[in-house]
This record gives sequence, C-alpha cells and structure tokens, in this order.
Amino acid sequence: MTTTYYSAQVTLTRAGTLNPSASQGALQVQYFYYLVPAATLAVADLLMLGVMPDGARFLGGKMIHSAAGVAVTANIGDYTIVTAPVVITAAKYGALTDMTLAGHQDFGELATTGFGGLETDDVYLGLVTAAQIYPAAGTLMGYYRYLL
Amino acid sequence: MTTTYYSAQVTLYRANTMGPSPSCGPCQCQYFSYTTPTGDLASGSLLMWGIMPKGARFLGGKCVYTAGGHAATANIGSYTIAAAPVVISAAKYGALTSMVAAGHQDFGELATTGFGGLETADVYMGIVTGGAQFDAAGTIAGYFLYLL
Repeated sequence: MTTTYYSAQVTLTRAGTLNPSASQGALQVQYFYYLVPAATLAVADLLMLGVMPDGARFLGGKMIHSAAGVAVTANIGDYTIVTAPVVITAAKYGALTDMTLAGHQDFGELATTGFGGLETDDVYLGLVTAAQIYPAAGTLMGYYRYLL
Repeated sequence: MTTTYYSAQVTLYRANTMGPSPSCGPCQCQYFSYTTPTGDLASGSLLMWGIMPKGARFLGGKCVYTAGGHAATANIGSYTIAAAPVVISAAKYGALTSMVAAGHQDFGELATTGFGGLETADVYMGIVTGGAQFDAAGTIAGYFLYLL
C-alpha cells in the first residue's frame, strides 16, 4: 500500500494551526530598476535592489539586464538597513552569471539560494558586481516575490 | 481592415458583467515544504502539497527540490479532502521530470495541465512519485498561484 504524506503546511492546516501569513496569501512582488550612471558600476560596487521585510518568505526573482559588453557577474545577498549597510550573507539569494549580452536570469530558486526562507529582520536585497565594470547607461531591473 | 478580437474577460468587461473574481484581483500564493522521511520517499508515495479552494482559478506553480539521488518523477493531481484522500485527476496539474539533481521546475503552465481552470470544490493538490525513490532528508518545496 502506498503511503500518504503531508507537507508542513497541510499538516498545520489539518491541525488548525497554520499561520497563514507565512504560507499563504497575496503574493507580494517587489519591482526594481536601476540606470547605471555615467560613472559606471565598478567591480565590487554594491547596488541595493529592494527591501525584504521582517517575516517575509522569499520565493525567487528575476533580473533583466541590458548588454554589459563584458562578462560582469554578481552575487545577490542581504544587507543591514543602515546608513552604511553591512553584508549579512553575500550570496544568500544566488548569483548572476555573465551579463555580456542583454538577457534575463532567475535567481533564488534553489533551496541553497534562499528559496522559501523567512526573513527575521528588515534587510536590503542587494548585489555586488564582480569580474568586470558594468558600463554606463545600462539598465538592471527585475522583481522578486515573497509572502508576508 | 484588420479584425479586433476580445478575450472572454474583455468581452465581459465591455458588457459590464465581469466580477472582480475569478479573473482579476490579488494573486493568491500557497507555499509548501516537505522534508523527506528517514526511510526515503518511496516510488508511488502520495504527498499532499496544499489545498486549492473551491472557486479558485489555478495559475501555475513552481517546485524547488534538493537532489533526490535517483530519477524520481511525479504526477501532480487533485485529491479529495478526506481522511483517506481519493484521486480525482492524477496529473491534472502536470508532472515533474527527473529530480535526480537539485533544481526547480514550473508546473501547470499549459492548457492541458490545468492552467486557468476553476476548482469546483476544495481539493488537495498532491503528487505521486514514480520511477524511483526520493532520498531521505531531502526537501521538496515550492508554491502555486491562484485567483480567488
């Protein structure tokens, strides 16, 4: 005979103890947009994409980028919300690979890149560029999803 | 002269007969997570992910998983909400292909896999694994979207 199992959320629902805010509700989508200034984005520059609120459950995102012309990469992590943000986990939400050509990349869609994680404080979601300078007048935009 | 056509929803809008639901409104999201048991998740096991409420219009979902270790696949279907759930439609929302390596797969994003369908009763959304077992201590998580 096959066995029937229940997800953590169905188990809580069956017990009447599901906290809906963390597991179900209106999907929140945070859009972000950035126009690279004349000064370019240098290697290791930090770009804050948005805020992840305390209690939010992260459900992945997408980055749409113009052609950098060179192999810019980036780690996507979380940072304290202060005047001089401090890194908490540099690649918590994954990484962007080569952005030489215009394109789009999903991020944060694995268990190892933050999918399903609950924030315990308000944090910035930001990226740090690497490998190459991202040229001026490029655009970085996209969105990420969360439940709250 | 070109011809202009209208979707079913725009047709209703033009006739002032479109209600706010189930064609327009905040997108509802249900998150699910499951840690596979010590004895692994055997082929043929049934895992209930979540509940699709009556009147909900299904808009697809995503499954994120750790490495299953074997070429486990799964059908995603609907089941009665009962102590001993009974299958209604075994692959209503599509299927997952091999989960041998960690990854993520979208599901229910075709007309043939439930996209846009209206539920006529509260049902469980669940998967039946096939092909091989999913190793112990793995995680199967994700979300599905609907309008209600």
